[in-house]
Amino acid sequence: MKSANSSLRRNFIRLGLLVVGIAVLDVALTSQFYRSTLTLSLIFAIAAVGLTLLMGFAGQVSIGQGAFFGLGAYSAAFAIQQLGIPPLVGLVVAAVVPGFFGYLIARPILRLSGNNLALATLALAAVFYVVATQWSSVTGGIDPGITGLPALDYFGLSHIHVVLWLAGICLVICTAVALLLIDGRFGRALMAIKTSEVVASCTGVDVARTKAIAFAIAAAYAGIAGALFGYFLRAFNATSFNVGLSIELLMMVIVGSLSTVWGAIFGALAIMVLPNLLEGFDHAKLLVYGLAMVAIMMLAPNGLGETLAKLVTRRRVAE
Amino acid sequence: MTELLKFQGLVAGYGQITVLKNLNLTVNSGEIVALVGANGAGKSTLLNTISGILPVRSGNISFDKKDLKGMRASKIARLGLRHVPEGRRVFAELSVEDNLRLGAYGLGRSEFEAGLDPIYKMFPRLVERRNQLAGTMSGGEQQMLAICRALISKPRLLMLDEPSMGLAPLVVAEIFRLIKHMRNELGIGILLVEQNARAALRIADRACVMSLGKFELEGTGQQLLRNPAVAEAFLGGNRPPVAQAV
Repeated sequence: MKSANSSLRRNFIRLGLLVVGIAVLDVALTSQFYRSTLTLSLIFAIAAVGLTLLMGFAGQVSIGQGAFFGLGAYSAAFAIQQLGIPPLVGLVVAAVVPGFFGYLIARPILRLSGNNLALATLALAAVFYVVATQWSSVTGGIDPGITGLPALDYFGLSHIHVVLWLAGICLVICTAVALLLIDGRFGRALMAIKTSEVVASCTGVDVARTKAIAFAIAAAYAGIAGALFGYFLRAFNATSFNVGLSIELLMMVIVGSLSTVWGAIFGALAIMVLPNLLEGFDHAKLLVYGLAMVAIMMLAPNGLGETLAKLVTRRRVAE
Repeated sequence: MTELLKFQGLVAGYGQITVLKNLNLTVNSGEIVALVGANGAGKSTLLNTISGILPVRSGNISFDKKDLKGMRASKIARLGLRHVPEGRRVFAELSVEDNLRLGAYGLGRSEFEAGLDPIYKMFPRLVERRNQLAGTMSGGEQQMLAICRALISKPRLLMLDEPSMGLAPLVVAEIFRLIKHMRNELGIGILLVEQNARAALRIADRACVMSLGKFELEGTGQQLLRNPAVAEAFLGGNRPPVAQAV
């Protein structure tokens, strides 16, 4: 128990370092372009942390997180524009609506496992995209989509600074919640389910319910990320939420780590920064993604971030 | 002795196949009931049906006078009817103590801590390894842990599926000692499925021989040990001492 608490303490120190890191980058990055890349990384990291809970800890694959990301973006926009709710409260709406739908969908969909579950969630992402493009009375379809979201210029700071910090704060809170969940009873239940659903139910874990709650949490995290994404751009349309988004979120977890939430943050940063480095090769982007995914699966099945971290600590011990 | 588990006319199976055909049995507190039988007789299916992993097709089943039919596996486990499935499935990626913590899932922290003490007293080896990953222990230690994980919740009835599978004879002896201890000192009712029929019948108060989804023979452990048909089928043929005893 002592070890569990000390690892929790270590994780909260890391959270503090994350805050310091964001602050330093906020000051150090002078180009608007890099600052927006950082903001997007923080936003996507929130969704990736949620997916790590579901995939890394409970062992349930989802290639459908883009649907909840989009649902969050639309819910928040609807709350602000049609209901006159302030943007900060809109974030709560963006967590609750996808979380609720996630829970409803989870009960039937999580009866599947492995490849079947992956395909069902992929279908979810595809269906969401079609609905988002066609239901133009609510979503605005592809043209014009949602426009005219308010600029967040609180405390005399510019919009991009406010969104960057809002995303940073949301990421820290979401990560802290995830860490607390993992450290407790719920996290142990998830890991038990990953090992064997039969044995988990024999020890008294309500498998169906626990999986559905994990799915709902991952959906809520994706929803918060989606809302922040909408706030940041102030205008978006359905094309942002195509199946590619779900695959990118999945890649963030795989590139990062399947066994710690820190990997998700690393993965989100890597996936956001990498395309910018490959600027000139836009046509080959998917090819590079595919190759990277295959290479990571073969050479670092626990995630690239985790494998790199292990290499570094091993070297330090060797020295 | 109080009556714990009781089923009458129990029928269950997979898909279109009916495996369990009209089974009746009662298990009381403080007794060991052994189920022996060849592979495919339906022993594990029976345990899975009792613990709610498989649905009951027809018949009555109750635990401590509560109807189990249609009840979820997790809820049945919390009633104090614990199933230790085949193949010592510990949570390999969790520490020993976290495995035990999961055994107390649904109980309070204080109940967990109170349950931990007697278990660590019984198995000092687990104390040394409390922070070790369960998957890195030996087979025997993992089986002990799997049983302790069920034991920590203070069950009234324990169902053990092949606890001696693939273990060295010395370890098997230790496990059978533990099973007797649970009956004698803790008053737990035990439903024991075993391939090692001779050892199981020796410690059993009552036993059933299962074949093709039915109970072929029932009796006390000693009766079945001496039964020539049982000896023929499970105990290595008609060895002279057994034949003489009959």
